[in-house]
Amino acid sequence: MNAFGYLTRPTPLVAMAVCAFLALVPPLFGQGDLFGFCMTMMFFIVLAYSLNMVTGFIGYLDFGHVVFLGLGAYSAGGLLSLFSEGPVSYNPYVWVILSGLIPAVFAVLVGYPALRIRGAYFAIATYSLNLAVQAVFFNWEIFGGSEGLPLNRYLKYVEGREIWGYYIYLGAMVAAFWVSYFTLKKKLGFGFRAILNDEDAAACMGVNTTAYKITAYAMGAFFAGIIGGTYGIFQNFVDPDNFRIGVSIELFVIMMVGGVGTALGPMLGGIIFYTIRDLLIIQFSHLHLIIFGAVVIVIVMFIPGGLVGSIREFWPKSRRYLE
Amino acid sequence: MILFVQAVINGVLIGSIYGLSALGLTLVWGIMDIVNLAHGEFIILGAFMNYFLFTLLGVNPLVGVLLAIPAGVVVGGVIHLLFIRRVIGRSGLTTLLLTFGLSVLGNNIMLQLFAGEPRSIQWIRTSLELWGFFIPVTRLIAFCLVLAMAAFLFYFLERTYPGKAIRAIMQDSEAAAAMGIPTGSILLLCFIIGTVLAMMAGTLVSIVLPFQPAFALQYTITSFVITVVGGLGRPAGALVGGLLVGILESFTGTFISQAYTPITVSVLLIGFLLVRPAGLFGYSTR
Amino acid sequence: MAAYLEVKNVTKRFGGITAVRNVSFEVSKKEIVGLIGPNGAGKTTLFNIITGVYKPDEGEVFIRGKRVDGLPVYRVARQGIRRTYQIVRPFPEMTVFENITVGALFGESNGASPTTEEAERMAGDAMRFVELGNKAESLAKNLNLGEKKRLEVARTLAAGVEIILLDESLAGLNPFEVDQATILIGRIRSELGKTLVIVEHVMRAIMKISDRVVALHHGEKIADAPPAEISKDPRVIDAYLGGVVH
Repeated sequence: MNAFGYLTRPTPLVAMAVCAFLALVPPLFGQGDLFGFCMTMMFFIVLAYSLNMVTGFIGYLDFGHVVFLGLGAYSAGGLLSLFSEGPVSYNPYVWVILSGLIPAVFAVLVGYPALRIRGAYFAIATYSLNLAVQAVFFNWEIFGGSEGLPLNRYLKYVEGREIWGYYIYLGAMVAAFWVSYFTLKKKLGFGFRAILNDEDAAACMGVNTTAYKITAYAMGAFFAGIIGGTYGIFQNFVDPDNFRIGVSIELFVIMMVGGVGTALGPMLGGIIFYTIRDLLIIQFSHLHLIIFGAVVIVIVMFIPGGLVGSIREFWPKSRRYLE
Repeated sequence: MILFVQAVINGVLIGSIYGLSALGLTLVWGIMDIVNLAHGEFIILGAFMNYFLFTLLGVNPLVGVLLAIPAGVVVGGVIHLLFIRRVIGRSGLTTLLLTFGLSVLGNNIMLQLFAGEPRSIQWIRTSLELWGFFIPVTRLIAFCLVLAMAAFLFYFLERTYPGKAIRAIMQDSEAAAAMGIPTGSILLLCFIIGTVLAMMAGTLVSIVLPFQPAFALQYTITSFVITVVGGLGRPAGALVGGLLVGILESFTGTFISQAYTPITVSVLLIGFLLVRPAGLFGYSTR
Repeated sequence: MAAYLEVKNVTKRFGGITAVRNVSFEVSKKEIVGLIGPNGAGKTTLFNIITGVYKPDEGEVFIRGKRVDGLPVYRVARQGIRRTYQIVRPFPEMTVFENITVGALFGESNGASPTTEEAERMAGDAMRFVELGNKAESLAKNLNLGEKKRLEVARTLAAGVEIILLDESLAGLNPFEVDQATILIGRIRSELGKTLVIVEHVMRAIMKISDRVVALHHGEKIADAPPAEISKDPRVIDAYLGGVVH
């Protein structure tokens, strides 16, 4: 089946329909509230996809995943501050790719020892790693230390920068979807799922589990990094708060609501999650988090597959179409 | 040199509290195979309890420490019966995510009800001075209480029927069930003990340090690190590990900077996980 | 003929216990070798050593002449060996066909990694060989024990490798299923030309199907002979506490 043939299948169709709608928001609705809403929603969706690549694909709970968001932000900010004299106009594509690649390299280096650790140990180790990296940037004066690093000295203000950020997010979301979708169909995805189901049996079947795990971890790091870098440039500011653990919590909620390990789950979960969050956060500052904690508990106890997973479980025919 | 010894003293004093808090986690984890990510929330809950008892009702904080026992029984019992019991035996991912959800829920309920600013009990503010070293009285009291609790726990595990049953289950849960030990209620007891120990550690924290809900995660991780270092289900390991981590944090804070402690603690954790995952006192398999 | 699979003076200790002590044996191409012994004799440990899950404290393992002990598990597998498990463990959340496809994708076809089309074909062939075609879209966790065991076998066959280790594939099956499974195992050698090492407790089956039987007791090899001689070997009978071999 060639590339366009895939567009006729239900799952990509739904995903691309959502993306098409989002692409039309700025020209049709301008840059008002809806624009801001969609932009932050895409922020969360891509991050959920990136977490899905680690936790959903290979089953390693990455509670510290936000470390890659922060690293992406600091990659962009750091490179800008180190390599520019005076305000430069930026080539967005270069910064974006680099802010994805640097965290990915970090993931490969850290992942080699870290992914030997399993289960709860891995989860806490990632929490711990996140705190440690945050502490490093907190104390690293070159990058602003605890105050953070404002970037407007290095970036010439370009009219329409917000639009640029919006479409980068959208592009990342499209890429994240297709990468997830195709991975699940190809050998790479089979290897991932084998590891997810039974890592030791997978190794005995010839799967190079170490290489596959590191690949998944690096993929997740790359997409989180891209979002981090774009976010940093768009905000004109990077600071250690980019590493705050609250984001990780929200990503887990999104992933679990949508369906862990699926191609459509992060997108649907993100839409539902962010809509509810946006509605609730104005009312009570912490109510939405209380609800999310309860949602996680309910999902774990009663509907572990999330939205997509449950549909596939109770309606086996849908398994061919809903991924 | 003086600085060195003072750092050791500080480390031991705070490490004893860490050890107490880790005791709960290591028992629950080692025996029930449940990693309680909400552990830090129980600690902070205990701290809040003691704080409000003191500031609103004038209850002596030491009495508050003892009140952590009935409080822990209630809280632990409820949580176990409603949630934990249903996921025992399910995959590790499931229990982790469940306790993760509980921690998010608990933390934000506390934030919503009590607000996030730091609190502490202003009780005894004096320090003893021995040979030029400073020992805050509250910390010394806490240290002695920890020793007392540890002694009591050891007695419980070694000499009483429920304690021996717990140790039996840890060795071999099927054999224990076959011998008529009612595993269900023992697991409930175990989780309650874990909660009581955590809340008790929290009451001590409220006497000794400022606390706020945002610190819960820190306490969870520290308890976790201590459990790994000491060995799963090894109470002696938890106490020794607690002292070790306390001293490590104290040294990092004294000689480098307080902000660097997450880094050194992470190094300790990952080091143990890679080199000796069974911990100091644990059995290594393979 | 050079040995296809060779275990040479292998010893493995766990703490104070020696699970396998100085065990050596060879398997020739297309041979079926049965591995018997009481519980705790070291059979599964030996499988784990051969497949690379454990590294032997002493001794060596050779697959088709190439030394494999000490290699990472997936590299040992790539030398041409696959296994099933005593406590059956197919990938629970994947369908039968997906399970077998994993086996095929990470196996070999003419010495190289198969393409996706080749893999699907190999998977289909393996699935039909064990007669699980009607369950292709069922999730592995929903199969009964006999089906799960056949699924594991299909998974190993789909890899297209020469050497297959079967760990108590007959355990837990009723007599009818045992006979069916025994026929299947025979066909794996006769129709597919594979080389097999089988751990089994069901004596009737293993005596019927093996070319040769290796007996272990307390980690040591106590006998290595064709079935007819084994059933008369006093040491073997002794090891099974006077158990009669059918």
